[in-house]
Amino acid sequence: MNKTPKIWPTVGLVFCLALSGCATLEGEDYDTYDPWEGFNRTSYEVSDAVDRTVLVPVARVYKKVTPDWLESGIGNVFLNVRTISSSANGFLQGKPESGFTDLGRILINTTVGIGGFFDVATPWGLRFQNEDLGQTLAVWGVTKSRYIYVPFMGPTTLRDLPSNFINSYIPRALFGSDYHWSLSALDVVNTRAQLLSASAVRDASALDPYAFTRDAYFQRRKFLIYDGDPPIEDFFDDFGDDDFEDDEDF
Amino acid sequence: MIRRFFLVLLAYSVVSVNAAETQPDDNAQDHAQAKVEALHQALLQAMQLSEQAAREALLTPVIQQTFDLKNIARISVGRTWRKLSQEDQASFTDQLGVLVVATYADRFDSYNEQQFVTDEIKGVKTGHVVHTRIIRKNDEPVTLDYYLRGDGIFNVVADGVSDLSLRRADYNSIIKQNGFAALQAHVALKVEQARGLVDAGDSEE
Repeated sequence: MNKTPKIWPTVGLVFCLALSGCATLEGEDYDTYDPWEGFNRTSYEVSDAVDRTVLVPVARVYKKVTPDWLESGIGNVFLNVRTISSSANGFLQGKPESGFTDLGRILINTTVGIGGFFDVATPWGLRFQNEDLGQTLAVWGVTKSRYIYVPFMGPTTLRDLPSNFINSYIPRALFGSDYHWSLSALDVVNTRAQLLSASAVRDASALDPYAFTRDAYFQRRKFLIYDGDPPIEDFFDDFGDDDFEDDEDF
Repeated sequence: MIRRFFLVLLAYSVVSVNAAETQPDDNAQDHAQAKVEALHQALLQAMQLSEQAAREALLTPVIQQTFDLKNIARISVGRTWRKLSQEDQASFTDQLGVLVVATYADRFDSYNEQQFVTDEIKGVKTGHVVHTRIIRKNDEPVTLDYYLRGDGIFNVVADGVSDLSLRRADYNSIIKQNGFAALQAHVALKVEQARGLVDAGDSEE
């Protein structure tokens, strides 16, 4: 009989939540905060090397042999599963409209969309709300949090780390003993294939890809925490009067 | 996780009114909108040209007229800027302008019924924000917020991710590690990559 050690995901989650709790002591803004830069840079370089030598070639082959509709459908299935977490976090943040929107997406896409393969909810006006536990913790007051580049997982913060584990655990919890590791592999490869063009943009833009990735991550998280509506004054305040001078200097 | 990060590079939003906003001056607001829409018009034309060189030729005068390249260069370089000679400042501003043009020409290289939509223009105490979206066929719309101060665009915010903030962090990291000359060399390399003269992988160190 195959016994699953169910205690470990719970222990891991509690540990991560405890780590996130520490982040409450670190400040009240969303600025880039990277006191572990030395470790993070090493982690980034190792992960990036593996990504380029293993994952990217596999993703390229996958993309070449997989029709767009199938690639999109597989992505939709995994997104549909993760919408459970998004819905729950919408409610936890006191946004019932957001929670119900995601709930409606799950119901419609799972039934009409045949197990989530087709995203019929978006054209019907039910857009994915993209909530997670990291955003919930931020809404609850855990704003500033230290950056971690987790090997082979990617950029995150102490506050956001638990939601990474939750998202990877949800499919296992849903499928139970029927879950096979190959589903996780498919999720990773399919996701990477969908992001090939995006990573090419990073490669074309970044002089220091580590710093670029880190700052983009913090900005993106702030954007999501504010539900796409961050204070516009912040973008002006980031570049004060001293940064602007007249043409006569030249 | 990886997906969430890279989506960073692909999208943008609508912003609410807040108390700090002031009533925008109509002329300045029209001026800001005209700049952004001139850029969008040029990008739509550029997407229908097959050659990178042709797209660059089309975009160069438009970007020079719509972007505040001097202040973008100043902010991107940060504290080191004041230590540079005026010649170096002017030279780097020109180099940055070439990079911006080459990058836009590289990214907007094919037309697939894309449309730009201007949603809203807001005046704040120090400038204007023009909220726009690019509508793409079979894909999620991307919102682009243009920040203008004085006479040009100094920042483009894509899905909450500020181009100028990223540029400043990126450039300062290079300057801190290897100095201003290394930054110039990197920028020159990025121009060559955008033009397809060097593979992007060649930049790895």
